[in-house]
Amino acid sequence: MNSKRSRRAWLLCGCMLLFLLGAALPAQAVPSFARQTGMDCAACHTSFPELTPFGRDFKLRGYTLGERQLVPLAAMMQFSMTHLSRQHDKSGASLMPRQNDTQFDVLSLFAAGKLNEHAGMFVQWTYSNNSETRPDDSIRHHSQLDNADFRVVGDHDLLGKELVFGLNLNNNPTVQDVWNSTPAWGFPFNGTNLPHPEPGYATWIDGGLSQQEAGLGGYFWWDRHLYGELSFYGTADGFFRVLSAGQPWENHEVTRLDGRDNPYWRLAWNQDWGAHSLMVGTYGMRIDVFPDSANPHGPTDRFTDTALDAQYQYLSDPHIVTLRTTYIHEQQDYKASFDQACAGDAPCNSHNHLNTFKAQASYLYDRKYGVSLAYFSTTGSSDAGLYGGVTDAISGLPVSTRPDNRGYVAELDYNPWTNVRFMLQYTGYTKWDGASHNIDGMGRSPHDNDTLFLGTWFAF
Amino acid sequence: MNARIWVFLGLTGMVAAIPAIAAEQSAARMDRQLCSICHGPGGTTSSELFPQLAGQPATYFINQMKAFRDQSRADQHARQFMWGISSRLSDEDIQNLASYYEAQQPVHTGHITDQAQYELGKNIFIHGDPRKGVPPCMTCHGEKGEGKDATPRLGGQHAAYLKRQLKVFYGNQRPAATEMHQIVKGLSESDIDAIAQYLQAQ
Repeated sequence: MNSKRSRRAWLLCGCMLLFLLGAALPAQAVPSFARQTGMDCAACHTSFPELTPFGRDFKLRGYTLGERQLVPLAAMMQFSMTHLSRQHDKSGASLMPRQNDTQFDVLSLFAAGKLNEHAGMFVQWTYSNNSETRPDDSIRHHSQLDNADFRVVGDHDLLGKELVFGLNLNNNPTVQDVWNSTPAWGFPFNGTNLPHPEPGYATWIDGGLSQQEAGLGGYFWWDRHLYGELSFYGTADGFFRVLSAGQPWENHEVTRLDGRDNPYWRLAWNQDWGAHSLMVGTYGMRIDVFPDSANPHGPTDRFTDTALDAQYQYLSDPHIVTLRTTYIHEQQDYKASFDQACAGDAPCNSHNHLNTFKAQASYLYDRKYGVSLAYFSTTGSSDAGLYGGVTDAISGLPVSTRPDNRGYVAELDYNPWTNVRFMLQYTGYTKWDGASHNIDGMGRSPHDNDTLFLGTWFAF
Repeated sequence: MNARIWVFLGLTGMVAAIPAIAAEQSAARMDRQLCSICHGPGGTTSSELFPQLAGQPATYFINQMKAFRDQSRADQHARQFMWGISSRLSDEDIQNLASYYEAQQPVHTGHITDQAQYELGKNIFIHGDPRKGVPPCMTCHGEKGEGKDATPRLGGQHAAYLKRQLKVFYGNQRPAATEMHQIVKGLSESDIDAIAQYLQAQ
């Protein structure tokens, strides 16, 4: 009852805030970068957060174009409704609360803009109204520092062409990237924020370190063709603790890296011609992770992620077509946690691998009507220790010893204005944590975790 | 850790000490750092979304930039892109950019994709269409759309851009172009397509 009342109160507050903002701002109200540059969102985005060539250049030049704003603030809100294909498992337990219920999901505040002629920042703070389910089935709200990206830039001539170079500090590997084929800004851009079943295994660079680590490095952007970057990551503690504000430090659930010299690299070739924009690149990182976050000392496991990616955009009026893909190969060396006896949930193999492939195609008409299709797949080594935790209710045997996941996303978008979006998104699964059926040991199928998401998103 | 923080702060200071971009805003530099992202290096772009600027008469360029800056030119791309960009430019910047682009050699990238349409467009452009009250375009724009003074260069512009702008004249989003508001009333959609085809190939 209390939960319901609280939910309605938040919904009401959200709607009132929305109304007040809508009434107070002019019709072309757009976030802080747009206010800074005087340009429409469409100059930098085909559709938020997908960047145009102009948007990529703006970001790589440290968000410094335009006039510095006294208060470079912006806000974003999301309301939604989610339907999980089968809400309860065979034991009757609910796997997702608030099925088919209208939700105020997320409020993000941004401090984003130019600091001076050579420095800029993008900092996001996010309040999630539906962070996780408590044991008594009530919902925990939560707020945290979200993505953060600070830049200091300069430029110079190199071989008669312009060289932009900069220093970057961020808290999420690939958040600093300007192509939406890398994980941090990759598709799908929105989704349900309700606690819901999610695939258990992914490569580290694919979201596993978000808002937990601090990365510091340098990059260059030569002649709008060649981009290169070398950064070094470490746990966001000590001086960098603010970059992981809101993370579950008290539960020792923050991934602890050994040292601050875990390298991240990026090299990309970009070619713009006519209405076409193409990028082919590689990125990756190597991290040493303490097996026990509560005890960040002693030997570590080493993970090396090496990725290829590509993006093609056809930017015309009124047609915009986007194709993206990435392939990530993760080499896992469990030199610290490998258990030769293969008992418990420690790795049974000293070395494993994990491969992720993603591909996406989108069409946007008049920047208003969009349709997107995406495919994703993760495959990897068989390891009973790591992946054999779910057992069949009758036989007691693991339902799978592999980390494989496979599925697709189909999305329809309507953007009445560049800062407002309505979306209908269907996420389907054909393989779940290595199993094609009986994924929970009680007969649940991967399709039972399919999700239909109806959402609306506003930015001010 | 402390050493790395000091290294970061030191490097930050070094980058910040580089002379300000604003202090070196020569026209060529502005072209390279800003305008060329959309309009291409030297004002020649292969993107049909944006106009060619190379060889554009300085007077026309200045008039348009000031119209963007005072927001009297209000077509869709003007609002999305040029209002913001122009708000940062002084009269001197605009004058420098105008001289720079006027001096650039126009690059003829267009080609004929429909010969019959090209001939129709050429005919309208050179002779006009008296039955519809359309005067010869070349009277003001020159035989190959070279432009002069306050009249824009049209030759070599992308057909898609020309069509979009001619349709803008149906409305009142470019109020300064009073003659064009009258002229387009006599042009059908196929006439506009044909004229754009002719000009693109110049």
